Amino acid sequence: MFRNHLTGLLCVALLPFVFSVAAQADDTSIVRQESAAEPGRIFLQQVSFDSAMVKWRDGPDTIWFGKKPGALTQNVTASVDAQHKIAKLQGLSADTNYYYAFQKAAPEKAVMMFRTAPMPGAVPEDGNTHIWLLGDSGTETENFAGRYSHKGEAIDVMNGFLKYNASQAASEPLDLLLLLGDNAYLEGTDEQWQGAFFDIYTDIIQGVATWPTIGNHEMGVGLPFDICPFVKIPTCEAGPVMMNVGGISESSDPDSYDSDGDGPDASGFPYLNIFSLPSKGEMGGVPSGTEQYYSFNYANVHVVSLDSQLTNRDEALRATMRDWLVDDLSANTADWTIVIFHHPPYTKGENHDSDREQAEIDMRVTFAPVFENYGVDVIYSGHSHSYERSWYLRGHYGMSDSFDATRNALLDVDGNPALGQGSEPYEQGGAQNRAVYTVAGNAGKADEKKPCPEGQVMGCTLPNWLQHPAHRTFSETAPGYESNGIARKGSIVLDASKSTLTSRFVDEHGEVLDYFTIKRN
Amino acid sequence: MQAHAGDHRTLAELDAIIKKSPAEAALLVARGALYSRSGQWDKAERDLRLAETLSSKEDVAFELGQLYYRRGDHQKALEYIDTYIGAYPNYPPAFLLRARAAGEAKQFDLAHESYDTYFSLSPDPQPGEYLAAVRLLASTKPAGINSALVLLDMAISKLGLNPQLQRYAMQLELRRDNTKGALDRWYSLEDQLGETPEWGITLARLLILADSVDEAGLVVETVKGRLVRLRQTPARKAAGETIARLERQLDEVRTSH
Repeated sequence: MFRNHLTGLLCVALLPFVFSVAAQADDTSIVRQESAAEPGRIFLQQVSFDSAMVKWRDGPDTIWFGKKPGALTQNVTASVDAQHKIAKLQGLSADTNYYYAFQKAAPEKAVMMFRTAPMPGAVPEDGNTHIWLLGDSGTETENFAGRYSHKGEAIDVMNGFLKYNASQAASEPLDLLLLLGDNAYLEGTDEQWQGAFFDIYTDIIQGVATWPTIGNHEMGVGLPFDICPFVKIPTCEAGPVMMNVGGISESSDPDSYDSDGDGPDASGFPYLNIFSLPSKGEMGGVPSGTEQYYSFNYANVHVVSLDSQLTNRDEALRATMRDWLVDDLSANTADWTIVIFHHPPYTKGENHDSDREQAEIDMRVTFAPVFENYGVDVIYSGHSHSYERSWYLRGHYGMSDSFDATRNALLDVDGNPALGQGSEPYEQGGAQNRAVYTVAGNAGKADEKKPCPEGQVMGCTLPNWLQHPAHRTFSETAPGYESNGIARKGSIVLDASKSTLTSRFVDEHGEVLDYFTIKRN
Repeated sequence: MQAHAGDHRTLAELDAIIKKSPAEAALLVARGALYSRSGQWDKAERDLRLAETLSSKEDVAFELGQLYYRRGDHQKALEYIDTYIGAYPNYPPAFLLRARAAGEAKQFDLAHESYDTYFSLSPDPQPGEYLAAVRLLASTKPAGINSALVLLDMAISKLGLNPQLQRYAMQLELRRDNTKGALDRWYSLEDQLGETPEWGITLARLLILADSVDEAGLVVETVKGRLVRLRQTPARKAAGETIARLERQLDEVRTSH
């Protein structure tokens, strides 16, 4: 670990540049500081069939709740941990609306609402577990040298989802919000989580529990890195500009979290400070003993969140996570099994290639066989800022050039890889279990085609961009469509009824650009 | 290990900058760390050693410790990690690295002491880190298995009961010929794993060891019945085959009795 004053020496050469970033960070924290009197950052965690956790900052210590908005008759006093107030609401009824506020007789607009989960194994009253997945949505705070390049784009994606939900899903309320990592650029600081997540999805996360996974941009900065391929600033004219930028940490230890390159932060790893995740099996699932990876049951789905950023980088820890996953999936009896983690096992994204990056290779080689052998249905990742969705896969653990559709993909009656659409949905499981892998790191920005000059491999698109053969093909010629993926912004909407699971890619305009369905036997 | 896709480019750019500013320690450390990560030991050592002369020894010590650990020179790794810990005595990853290097160097007391410090400093140690520590304890100290079980129980009390820790504890109980202790530990996982075929299969095996053959037979019957009701997966199909083998084993045990 290279620390403190040596980094200072490096920064001397970059003083004007560094100071402009620091000034921006200070401004942001001042603007977002909350009044001590008003509760802020209100969000739900661990909503089960009989309990729920509400977290917030500032304001009152007591929360009032009840089954009617005008009768908040019960109250809980919060505990405090890592600068968050935490109230655990217990003794709740399953599949029931609850209202909560910070005053017993709160005005109507100050009353928030959530719905408890159905009893384990049952489907929600509306017949469907309705899930929204957001990958790499944290671009609201993404800036180099104070220049924000993706302002408003995450909001566009959210609005696209809301439009879709209002028009196509009859405004069905969400049951789960799953984050695929990189939800607070660039370093995953507490301030960035505020600006990129809590300030954007404010209303949604007060009504549905958030379930995250760790992305590279959650883990602070790495070694100095040239930022010029990614942002054109005048200083770049003189040559590479080396900065401790977020997203390239190679550490496997959350204790090493470093937000700015001057050594580990005393306040710890913001991700673990912000979220309260079930390491002890509190929500069903087998206890993992760590919040870095965990699982839970909700209604008829079992969700597993793996840690492809930290745990995955250490061989011994990765093996323990794998063993836990085997136990967890062995004990799972839910209708549907969903796995999320950040680094995609199959991708040909702009800066991320699953043939080259070790994290992706390790996730594929170590975990893909477990997914298939233990009955996982769908796997979602982010990292690449585009949409790629696989065929119905089995047995492909090598590099992309070893993919063989006849062996690794489910084929239709014509001998082509099956799409899982229309009247030919995929069929779940069996002794030859298959899974669909989706990459959707485009909920805050989408990469664009910009061919790499000779010798350049980062910050541009290589000739094989979005051409991983394990992913489904597209014949459309509209902007953003490539042979095996779509470079447009959007998010995933997943619906799991008793008999079918449908995954949709919804763009920022609310249009469904791809979907697949799996049917239970 | 394959280098990060960006490493190649960063190395090329670092080369260019270092050419212009050859005495910039920070750049040398950055390049040395990249070389170290990608297994280019000599180049890494050259950069880090040069950085050491241009800056303070302590600030380069962790990277040098990592380099020598990766290279298999554990004694040298320990020297540098100690230097680093002398300057930064509260940084948990340094104690984890020292524990691993000391274990490899067969300095087991130092390894155990370093693990203890790591567990006391780190706010979120993982089950896998405890397992590494107890595996070392169980394999090295004369009373290692007992000490390992004490540490496992401490870990379980801190992190909560989980199969990874308790399964290893069960195996250690068997190693010290405490079949009842092994059974007790395995039964403690019933709420978490009781529905899995693997839990029943292991339980049946433990019961056979404990000479409770009839009970083992009942367990096998229960697992068989449960397996039929579960969604079929390749793993459950394999479990069915294991159960068939276990039934044959039970028949043999009954016959020999």
